[in-house]
Amino acid sequence: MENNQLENGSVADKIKSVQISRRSLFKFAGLAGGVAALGGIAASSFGDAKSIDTMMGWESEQGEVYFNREPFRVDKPGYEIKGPVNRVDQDVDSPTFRRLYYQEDALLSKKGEENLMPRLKEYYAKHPDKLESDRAWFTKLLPNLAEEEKKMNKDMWGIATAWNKAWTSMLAPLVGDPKEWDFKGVIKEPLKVKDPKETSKLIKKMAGLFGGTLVGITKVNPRWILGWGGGVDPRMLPILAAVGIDPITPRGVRGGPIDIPDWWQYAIVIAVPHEPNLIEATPLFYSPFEAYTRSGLAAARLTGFIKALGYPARYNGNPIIGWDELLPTPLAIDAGLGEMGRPGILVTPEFGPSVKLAVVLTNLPMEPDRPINMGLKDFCDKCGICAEKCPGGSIPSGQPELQDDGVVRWMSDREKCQNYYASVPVRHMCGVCYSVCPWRRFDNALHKYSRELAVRDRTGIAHQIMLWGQKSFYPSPSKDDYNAPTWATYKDVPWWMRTDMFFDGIPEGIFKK
Amino acid sequence: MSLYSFIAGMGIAVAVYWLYSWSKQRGQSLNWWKWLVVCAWVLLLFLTDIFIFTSLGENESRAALMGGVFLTAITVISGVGIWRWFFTVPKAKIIDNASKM
Repeated sequence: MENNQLENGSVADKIKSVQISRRSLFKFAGLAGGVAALGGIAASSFGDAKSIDTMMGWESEQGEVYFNREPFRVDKPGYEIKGPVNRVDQDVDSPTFRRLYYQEDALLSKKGEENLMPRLKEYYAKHPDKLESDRAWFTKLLPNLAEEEKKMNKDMWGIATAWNKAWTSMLAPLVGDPKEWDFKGVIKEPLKVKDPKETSKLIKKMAGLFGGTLVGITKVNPRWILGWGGGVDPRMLPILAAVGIDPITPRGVRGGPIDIPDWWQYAIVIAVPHEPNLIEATPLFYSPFEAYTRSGLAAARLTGFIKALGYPARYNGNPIIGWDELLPTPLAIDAGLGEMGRPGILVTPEFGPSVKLAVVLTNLPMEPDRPINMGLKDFCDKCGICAEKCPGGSIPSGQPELQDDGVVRWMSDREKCQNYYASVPVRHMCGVCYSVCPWRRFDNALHKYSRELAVRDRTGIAHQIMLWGQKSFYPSPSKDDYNAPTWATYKDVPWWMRTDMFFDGIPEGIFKK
Repeated sequence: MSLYSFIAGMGIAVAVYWLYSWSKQRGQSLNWWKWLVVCAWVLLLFLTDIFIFTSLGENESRAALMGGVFLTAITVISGVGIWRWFFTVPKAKIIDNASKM
């Protein structure tokens, strides 16, 4: 602290000479304020003129960049590849399909295991524990679900059900054999690309206008391709098997090589976030279909666009637009949309894991994007909130492990995940891991600055502080609360999902908090 | 939002100029590192404000209360400490200076 040096007359004189009268002070203050106001108005006007918020009705399609990825681009994605791809039979490895076939076969033949398809018999011989858990699906899980649903008035989900129907009322046509489908509608004389870098910009702009929110481009890594799905509805398989036909879908079957069409060179990955208020009403009101449909239709439109430029193209990557012929998550990581998070899904800087993906495969020459390093591994190591809150107990709390795809990564237990979400009354969905992730936040000043700090934190200190704040100040239901009899939702159900507010005879019930 | 931002900007400009003039009047001009400390404290004050009202806007009332109390306490304590360190003249020195007049 400086002292008044009254004994030094020259200093005192200096102080007096710069002493400002109250009147002058107010004059200068007013002038400073006026200058600041004019400057602020100028900046605000200029910004408004450029703002996409003035695009009236087309704001969200302008490709707004919520997070600048460029400073975080790296040459290699953050996951570690340690082994070969162990391609399993996707039809029987998936608990969804397996249980579908088991049920169908039991219903058709009424002889239970005897008449299971040969591939299922072979699978259960190797995995007797799966036979028990699949049987328990029908003997315990489904009856419990029926009991829970009896206790609830299903009309409470009237608007939620209508919402799902609305989003799935217009879907893209299913894809067919790549040799034909990918070339259907392609113009005969392709337009010649001047510069692949500029083409990438064009494609990203178009993907945004067609409804995509995040768009990234990568070269196709064959490791992430499962193969053409074969065009057979999986639900038909047990019926066909009952008459002696077991069409093996080429999709990654039994470790053999797969034929990847040589025009599947680039993957354009489109991500669309879930409706941000509805995702907070998970699990009872969670719906993936708005995000699946928006990303899927954006991919379908982009496919049509690329074909009209003269290049083969194909959409895939989510259930709305076709079979699971590829793994969209690692493609999205390669394209720099985000990194692998603890639940084994993509986590983006903008929306956390609360996105749904769709992919367009093509050979249109483009410059691929590079992956990013957003410090997610370190953050997930310290966080673990999704593992703590997962009502199915399916998310690992330890370190990443080597998986079937040869990658060291976290992966949630599909059986436990499915067992939980299938037990959720009426909707049979979950989404808790999407909701609780600290990266899923609105784009306001507080969370924007926190995000910008988190991605730059290489010491881990900021992560620790933020996670302390997250766990201390933001309570949420425990994993048990998401089960019967509580059936909590992460946050309140948004007003526009509350059937009781708009229609007679609907109890307040689960909406009341 | 732009309107609120330039109102905030005007306020900051006025407050900064007032601080500059007032400190000059008292002969306690701030050097560069003291200005830095004051700026950091102002950022902390803004962070507290942003945290509380963002949380309220997001219906996170518990976060607004708990986080608000925590951050406000830090802001007040550090503000008092900076005030006393930068702007308060110890009584002994006032007496000493007065005796020399």
